Amino acid sequence: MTDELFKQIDLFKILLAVVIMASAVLIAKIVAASLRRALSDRLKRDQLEILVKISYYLIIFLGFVTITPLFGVSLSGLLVAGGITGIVLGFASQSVVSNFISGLFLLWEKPIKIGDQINVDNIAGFVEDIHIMSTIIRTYDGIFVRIPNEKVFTSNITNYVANVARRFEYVIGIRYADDANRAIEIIRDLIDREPFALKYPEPQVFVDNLGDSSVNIVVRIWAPSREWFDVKMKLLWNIKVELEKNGIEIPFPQRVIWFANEMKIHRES
Amino acid sequence: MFGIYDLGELEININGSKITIERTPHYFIYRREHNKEVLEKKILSRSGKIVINPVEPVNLPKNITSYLQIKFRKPITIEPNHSETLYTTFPVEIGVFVTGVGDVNLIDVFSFVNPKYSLYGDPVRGLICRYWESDLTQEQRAERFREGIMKLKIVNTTKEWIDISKAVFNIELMKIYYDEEIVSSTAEMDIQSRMVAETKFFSEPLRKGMKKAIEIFSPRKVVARRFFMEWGL
Repeated sequence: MTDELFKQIDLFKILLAVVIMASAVLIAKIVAASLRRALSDRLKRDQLEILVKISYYLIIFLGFVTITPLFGVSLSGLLVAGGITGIVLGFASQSVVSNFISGLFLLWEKPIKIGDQINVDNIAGFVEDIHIMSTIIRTYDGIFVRIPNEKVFTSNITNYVANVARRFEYVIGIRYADDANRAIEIIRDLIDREPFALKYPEPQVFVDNLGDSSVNIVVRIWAPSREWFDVKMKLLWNIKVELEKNGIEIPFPQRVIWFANEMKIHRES
Repeated sequence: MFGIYDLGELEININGSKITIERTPHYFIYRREHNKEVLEKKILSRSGKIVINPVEPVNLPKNITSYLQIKFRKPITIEPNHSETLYTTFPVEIGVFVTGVGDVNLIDVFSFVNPKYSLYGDPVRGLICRYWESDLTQEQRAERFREGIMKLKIVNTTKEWIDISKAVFNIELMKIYYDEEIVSSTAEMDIQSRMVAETKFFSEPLRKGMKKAIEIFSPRKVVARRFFMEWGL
């Protein structure tokens, strides 16, 4: 059977097959680039990337299907042979197949999207791309990290921006001598003036406990997931500055010590 | 104040803020002084127009959403199978565009109101919205340069009395009109149940002679001409 197959292959057919596949790759690249250009402001980046990848591989698959009859290979026969080959290769290269299958599941389940901020296996950063075999992360300090999809799929994934809003919290200690109600009023006013500190769910500002050195005020604020860190950084300093401007201070840890006997101080001159 | 101006030496005062355009031999300098802040941009153009008009109010301090939530200061109750046309307000943001040959480009947005955002729905599937509080009245009342008047027809298609405390809109569908005095938009809220309503905008000025504002946003989905409020009214 193998001899018969090679007899049917001549140089012209090989050249034709190469030309068809090269054309398919070229067309796929042109289509991918055109889709990116045409739809970049109409679709979200992750949706666009999925569409581009499907279009790209579909065109290449069509090119492949077109050249198979040149070599006398029927598509149904190829599928059977491909199936058997797939099983053999699957056993031989389990991790590759595992990454591939995990990649498909990641695309289907969508626990992460391109542009999300995630933490997988203690690697935190932005999702740059989700390939069929691996996921690319750009860490917060700009490092390129490639994680095999199997690892992404089987690890605990923390997606910091999967929900539209998230809450953050401060504990702000003020002196016992300061007016806690006035401090709460000042903090509420600052939150109200911050555009991305959400109006609803309502922020909470209350005296949480009477600490060793300070009256502790808890501040809980909801913010859009993609903005929360900027809001958190900006507001904390604004609260500190505004409280001090109004004579309310954040105390240092302090302890009052009582001596059982009167303390004698000797001065040596 | 709102309108179309030739690109050239220009000075416009708006409610205490100032827009100037200065001509240099090679380019124009756009300068906007507002709230003690000065913004400067260079415009490389031989000729063109400057358009100043109200835009969709979701650009400041930066665009993170395309939804506007108007919270009514006093909730209203509407009887079954009844409709009523009332007036509320929306925040005004002022957009400055430069137009050349066949294209319009936004160069600046500013506002006289402080922006605030809110969550409509739950934190998992809800929507971040530009938040605005307003009365819902039978009078056309708005603070010039700060507020636009929204004509809102509320239609209760249910067989129940319905309480309404807010309206949420997709501003990609918003049509804004302006003249020398006011900024306006026309919308409708069709109540479908105690929790669900459909909101949409109409290309309809509040009074004759109003001009249609240049929009920043265009609908991503061509078919979506309305927005469904699914997390309560």
